[in-house]
Amino acid sequence: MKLRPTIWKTLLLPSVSFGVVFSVILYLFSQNALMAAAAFGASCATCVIIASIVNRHAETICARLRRQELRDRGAVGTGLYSQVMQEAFDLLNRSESEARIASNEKTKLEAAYHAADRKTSRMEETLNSLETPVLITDGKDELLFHNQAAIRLFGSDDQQSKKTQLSDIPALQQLVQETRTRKVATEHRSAEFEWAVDGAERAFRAKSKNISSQHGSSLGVVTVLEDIVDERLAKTRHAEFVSSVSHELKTPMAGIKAYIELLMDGDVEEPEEQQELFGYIDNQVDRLTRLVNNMLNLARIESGVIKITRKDYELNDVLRKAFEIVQPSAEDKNIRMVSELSDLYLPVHLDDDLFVQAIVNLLSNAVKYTPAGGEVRLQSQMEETTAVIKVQDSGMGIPADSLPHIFERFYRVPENNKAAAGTGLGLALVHYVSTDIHNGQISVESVIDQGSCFSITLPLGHRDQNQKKLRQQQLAGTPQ
Amino acid sequence: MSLRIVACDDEAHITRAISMKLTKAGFDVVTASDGQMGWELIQQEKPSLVISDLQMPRMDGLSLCRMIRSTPETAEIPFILLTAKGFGLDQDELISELKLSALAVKPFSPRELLKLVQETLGVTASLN
Repeated sequence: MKLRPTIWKTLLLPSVSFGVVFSVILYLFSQNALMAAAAFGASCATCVIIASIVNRHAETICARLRRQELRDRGAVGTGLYSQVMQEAFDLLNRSESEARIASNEKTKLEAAYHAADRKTSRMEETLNSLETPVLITDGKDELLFHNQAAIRLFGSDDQQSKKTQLSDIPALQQLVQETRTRKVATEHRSAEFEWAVDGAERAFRAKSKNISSQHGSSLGVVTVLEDIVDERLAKTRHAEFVSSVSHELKTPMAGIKAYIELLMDGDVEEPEEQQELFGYIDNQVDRLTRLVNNMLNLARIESGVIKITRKDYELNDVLRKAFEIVQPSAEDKNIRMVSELSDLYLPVHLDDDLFVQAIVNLLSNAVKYTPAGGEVRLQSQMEETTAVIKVQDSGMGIPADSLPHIFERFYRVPENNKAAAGTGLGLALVHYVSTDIHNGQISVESVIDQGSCFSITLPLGHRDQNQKKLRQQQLAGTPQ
Repeated sequence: MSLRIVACDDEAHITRAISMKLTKAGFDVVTASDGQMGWELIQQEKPSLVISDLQMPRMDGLSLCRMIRSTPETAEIPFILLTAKGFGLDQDELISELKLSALAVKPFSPRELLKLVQETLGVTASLN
């Protein structure tokens, strides 16, 4: 292969030759050998510097020269060499173009990947912020993802000892499996199951939906869990309520029907006894009315439709009215009713009907849960700016764990449920009437087998008097 | 000597109405205000028939009936159950399981109850 002479080689020979000739001439004219040697050295050094500068750009210049030369040859040549080189150049150009495209694609993919990653993170954060447990399982029913609410139930990977597997809950596992394998993927499936979480029995409703690919194959299942403990409790209480209402309505009706029939059949001959039965029928009709009123008032409270008419009364008058209503039923049960009303005038501003009904409810309960021979006491007293009403009995008492619930609608003390029938509405109404309507307070103290004491505290004062006092204060310029 | 009947109900007026109707018809009626008291009376009086309410304090009607059936001395006493429930009870199952003579739903007719008592005791008498 023939080598092209480099510029370096080209310049070195003439520069050395020029130096030799120049130094010989200088020596002949000056006869000074030192000057001739210096001239030779200077010429050589100058040539080396020029050569090195030129050489720095030599490769670039050569490449340009080679490329131009090849182009010229390719353009005019017809040999194998020129074809191969043309192909090589085309290939090189295509490679450079593809490399640029690939680089652009890579940048786009990286951007898309980051966007998808951010989207996934946002979705996970959203699912984690939900209070509802969400589980996502794969095509083999293995858990892919569960949000924070589900982690609180199932445990996490970090808590292997606590972690619950899908297989630990057969009903849930079956639901997920059936959802994944069913053909119609758009519909939900649901199942209810009980499961102990941290030792407490819980009930859930699981709803599952299949996630399918574009080709119809199952990618996995998303399952949402709904806590249904409260729903079940509400259903149970409602069923008990319906049963209780049935009993509470039918019992007085049974007495009324039986006595009317006895009177009609002439089974009661003595006029005094006949009067007694008429009196009983009258009482039972009142009892039915009170029950229906309790139900209607609570229904009105629930629907927000209740008309409250508050007027000025003397508290003891209102209490006496309630006392007289309950007294006959206490006598029937051989229970002594004691009235210990304050000698002081207790001015109150209240809805007579509702308040009497509340006190009747408290007294009726006291009679109901006190055994024969026991005692029920109604008291009133003044305490600074309030009036306090107490209903005390010598009955069976209320267990401590039931006390926080006794004013809830439909709640019935389990231990007392067998002792007497009831609807679980009476105390709910008492609470509402005492606190919400009359701005008072209600509390209860109870000792098992010794009795219970309900206390209602009401603000004292007639509205008219209060207004008069307020006007006088305003006129006198005194602050309230 | 008249036949003795024990009537149990926590509503005093119900036992009174039963007592008035049956006494007038010639029966000797003893009353109790709960299941426990009723069971003590039944053991003591050995009545010809028991009429009992379902929901009562201390011991309910079904428990009382089971107690009667599981005690040899009282196992054959006819039992009429009174109830205000009216639903949620499988009457046929109760009648066969506890050998109830009848189940009367409140509000009941004393006239009809008397008829039931007479039929029950008549059937029982003929069987004896």
